[in-house]
Amino acid sequence: MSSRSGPNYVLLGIGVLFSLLFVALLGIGFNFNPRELPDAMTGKRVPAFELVDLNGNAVRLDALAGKPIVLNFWSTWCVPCKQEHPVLLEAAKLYPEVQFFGVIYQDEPEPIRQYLARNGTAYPHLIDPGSRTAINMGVAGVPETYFIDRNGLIQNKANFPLWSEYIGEQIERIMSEEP
Amino acid sequence: MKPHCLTLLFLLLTALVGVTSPTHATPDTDETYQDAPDIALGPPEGSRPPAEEVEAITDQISRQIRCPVCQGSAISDSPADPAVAMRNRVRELVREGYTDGQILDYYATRYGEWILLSPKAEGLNWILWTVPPILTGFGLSWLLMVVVRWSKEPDEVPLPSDVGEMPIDRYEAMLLEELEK
Repeated sequence: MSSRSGPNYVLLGIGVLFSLLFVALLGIGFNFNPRELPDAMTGKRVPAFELVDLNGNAVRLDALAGKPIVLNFWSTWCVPCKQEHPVLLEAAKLYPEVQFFGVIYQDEPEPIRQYLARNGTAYPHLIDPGSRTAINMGVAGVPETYFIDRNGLIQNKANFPLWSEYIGEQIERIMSEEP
Repeated sequence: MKPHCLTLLFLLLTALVGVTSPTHATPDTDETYQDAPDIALGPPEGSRPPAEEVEAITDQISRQIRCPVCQGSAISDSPADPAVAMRNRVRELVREGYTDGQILDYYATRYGEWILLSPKAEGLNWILWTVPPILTGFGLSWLLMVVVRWSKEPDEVPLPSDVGEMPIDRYEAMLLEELEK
């Protein structure tokens, strides 16, 4: 009579391997923030746009060639946008050689005007009908800020509220790029 | 399975984990920017569809694009404002004669492959398309082998008395004795 007692090492090995694979995948998965969206725009040329600001002035991106740009998508219903507003104001005053723009995302001009009247502004805020420019720039939510160098290349995209040190570092970076 | 087969399986699984691990490919050097792609939308490669077909084509494409502010739903299914805006943009592009591929590329270029609910079957994405059917095939084969093995086993073990042998089991002997009464 043959005996089949004892562990089946092959099955055990396969089980251990699959368990390790499962744990490895979990480990990889837990390292990612589920709310963090991938950034596909950094390193690409900024798509052309022509928008109108709150005062009715047309703004064309190609007219700004050779100038570093900070493009901030925001709205009045976005709490983090309001938190970073003073940081952007301060940076715009500190770096006059950089062109700052606010792009209004999924919001109406009137609440924006009221908010800016109360909290101040230092740069133009552009109306984006149908969020076409936002979609063209790959905006998934607000706040999102694009740091564009003199060559029209997107050097970084921040999809979180900015703070002074961070915005300073990013501006120094886009200013350092030679045309 | 011999030990070297296990080693091979381990290496394959390790390689699989390696190639499927997402990486943040954020360009960080000047060299990277030298060939920065221009993502301007080119001319439409298709023809303008009849007005009555625009909505159906828009819906079909929108079902393949992920809503960025929702949990795993397409922009066709979401009432969220960003999803509505993205759907409207799809409609505009359809009206202008852009093809399905151009429109999906438009979104993938700006938002990343992540925005497509069905990743394109190219490059490393082939792993996503091929590994599940292969694993399912292995699973089904294993299940088939188990079922075949079970079906080959006899339903019942014949009693010694059935094959003309003397009962060796005390209880079987008692049972036969009772049946003969």
